[in-house]
Amino acid sequence: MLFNSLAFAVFLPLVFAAYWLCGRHRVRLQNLLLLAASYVFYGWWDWRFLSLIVISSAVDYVVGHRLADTDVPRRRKGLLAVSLAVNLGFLGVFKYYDFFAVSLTDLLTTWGLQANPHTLRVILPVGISFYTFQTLSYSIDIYRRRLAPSRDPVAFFAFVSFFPQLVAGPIERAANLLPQFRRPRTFDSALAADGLRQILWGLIKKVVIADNAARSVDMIFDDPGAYPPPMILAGIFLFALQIYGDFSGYSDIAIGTARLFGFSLMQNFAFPYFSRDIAEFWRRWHISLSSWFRDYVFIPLGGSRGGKWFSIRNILITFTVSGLWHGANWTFVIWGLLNGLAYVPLLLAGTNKDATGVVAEGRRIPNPGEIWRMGATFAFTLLAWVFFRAANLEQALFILKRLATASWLEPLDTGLVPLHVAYGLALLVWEWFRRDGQHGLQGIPQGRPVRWALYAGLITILFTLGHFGETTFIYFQF
Amino acid sequence: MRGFLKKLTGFTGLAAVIYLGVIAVMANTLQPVLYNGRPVTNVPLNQPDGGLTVLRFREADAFGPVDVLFMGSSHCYRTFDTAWYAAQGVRTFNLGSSAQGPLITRHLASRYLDQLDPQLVVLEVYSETLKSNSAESLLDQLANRPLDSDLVRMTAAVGGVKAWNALLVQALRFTGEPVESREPEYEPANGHYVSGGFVRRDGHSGGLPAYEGSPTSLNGKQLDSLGKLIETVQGQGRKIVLVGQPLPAATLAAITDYVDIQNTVAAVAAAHNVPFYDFNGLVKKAGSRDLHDPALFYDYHHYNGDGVAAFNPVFLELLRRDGWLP
Repeated sequence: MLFNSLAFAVFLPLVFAAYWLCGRHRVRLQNLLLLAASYVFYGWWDWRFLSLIVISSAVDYVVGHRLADTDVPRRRKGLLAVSLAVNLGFLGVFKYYDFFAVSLTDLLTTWGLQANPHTLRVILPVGISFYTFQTLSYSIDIYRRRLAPSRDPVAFFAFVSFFPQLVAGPIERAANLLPQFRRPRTFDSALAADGLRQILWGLIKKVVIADNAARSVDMIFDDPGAYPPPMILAGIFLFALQIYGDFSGYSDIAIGTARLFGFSLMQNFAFPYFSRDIAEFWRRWHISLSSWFRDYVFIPLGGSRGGKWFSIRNILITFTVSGLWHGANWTFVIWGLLNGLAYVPLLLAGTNKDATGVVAEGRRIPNPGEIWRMGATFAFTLLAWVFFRAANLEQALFILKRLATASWLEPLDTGLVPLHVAYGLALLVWEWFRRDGQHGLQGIPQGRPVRWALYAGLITILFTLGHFGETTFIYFQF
Repeated sequence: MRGFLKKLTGFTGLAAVIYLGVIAVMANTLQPVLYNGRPVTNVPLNQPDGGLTVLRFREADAFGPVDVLFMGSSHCYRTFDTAWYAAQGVRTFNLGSSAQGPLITRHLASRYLDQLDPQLVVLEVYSETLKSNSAESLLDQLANRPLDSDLVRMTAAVGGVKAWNALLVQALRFTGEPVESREPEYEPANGHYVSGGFVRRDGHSGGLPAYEGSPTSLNGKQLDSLGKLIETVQGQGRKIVLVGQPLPAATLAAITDYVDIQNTVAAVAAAHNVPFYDFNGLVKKAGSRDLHDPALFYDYHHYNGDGVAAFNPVFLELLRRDGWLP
């Protein structure tokens, strides 16, 4: 079920009403309802793949208990291996098997060896990268003795499949979300109202910004040779806005929806395009994934404890694996590696933690230094997005070559591209002035008539300018 | 909670008033917001009447009974010549409309079958309408028929923000001539309306660009509606046949999934024990004339007068040969 569908517009109020009618002291009943609703939400896409979620949940629930019951190191490692094997096994089969089989064949072919890869050609279960990482972190945290296992199977299964964040995050940690399933939830009208505002803002970013931008992006990336450099540059800029609007929009809707049910999810995007360096960008972009890789890949690899070169190695490995998480394609690997390489100079200079806090805090206009740093960081992310969006490495290199060598004075039919660029710029300008909040509509200082008129105006914009086509969320494929 | 719901209800009312107000302004100024000649909003403000739909449905409301009812897309109303069939002693009505796929046809059938009372329904099936979501067809219906509950149901069946916006535009349009009294603009270049719903267009537009084919796949709702439509017609004790109008070879080549889609349609037809006369596949040799000759078309897929004159005798003979008509 998509957040921007009529089905969800009916589903959400029904679940909301049933949930609060359960009564605030009947936590278990509420959890059961959330579990059922989550399975309906997921099964709406394809009920057969619900079995993967159930298996993943069941394995980690049992593993969690067994881990807590034993102190034998070898047995504990074995149990953790079971969780890793099942969850990473699902990912391996459904997401990466074909990629590695074809890549190996290509490699053998370059050595003059013939191979016929057997590919599975199975469809990628929606959200598999998200819920497997969520359950994995649960088992790993118990293994590390940082978390006690859940004794309530309904709460645990509901935690794994919680529908607002099931298919595209935020990837929640059990330590944050699981306790919320155990304690009574009381309806907080201020929290719920802010949740609705965040849902509205998420929809604007998704349907008005991202889905409109997608039309121009697809047009340009489908045939980059047909467009002169200014259009290609506009296409890359629009893709940056598309992926931001799409994914942060999803996160906003997810967080806002969770708030309606009395849950607090972690912030997943913190206005990343106003970052002053790439390290800050990764503290503001897909925060739940970045912190997951930090805690479960970078730090276990040794983190920055073993000297500069050791740290650089760990950074590059972490970013490359992160790239691969996004998709089974070399373009994602290169994208991850590029980000890692951009991080290295900051690490060497020891400035990777310098840019913290809100940029130009307390000021409307950033100073020239801040403008330069934000501009340079944004320019780098644009370069990296070329690899992320391109169909393959050849196309990515072709686009960069065309930008560098083609004439910028070719006549151009711009179509709707300038309009979509204007939408994107409007979003950036608005968010610049809201960058100290959790989302674009939080803390509007004006009185209720102005605020309500603003929200009603945004709803009108949503339904008149929004693109309601056959589009899903980009991150569903990851 | 009560306070929250009260505020939410109040806000919803305000938002609805503002939204309807904006749509009303747009509907009554009828000025599409364009950028570089392309529509910016998803509020359809154009009032299409390319197929003279307003006349056809006005006539349909007072027509019947007939022997044969033709239904389908523009192929239908530009191919099945009701005057020619009348001259052969067959009473027909052509209820085709722009891009009409089974989703819309099903609604039209439920409204007009009793009144027109045909013995046989000829359903024209075109791969591209089976891929569409019927938004274009719905817009044609909304712009050319008085608003009623039937159109609301049709809008719900098509679904989507654009469809509902199109309905609101028609509901909130107070300027301009009402559909009931509107006389369509006859454009000789676009075709002459013939009593019974047929639209004749002569000539040959050799300069039109070739069709590039639609990259979208079959729309499940259309396929589902096709089966239900057949069941509705059969359930009333009427006969139904499916037909695929001949297309020029270049157009067929551009529709790369044509064979797959027509095979799917054939499977639905076979499952309901209904024949599917696909003139682009199953009935290649029908008649002595090459029905795919580009000279018989005024663009890449619509028959001109010569095409109509060549095709209908072949088709009527086929219906009679197979016992669908006496």
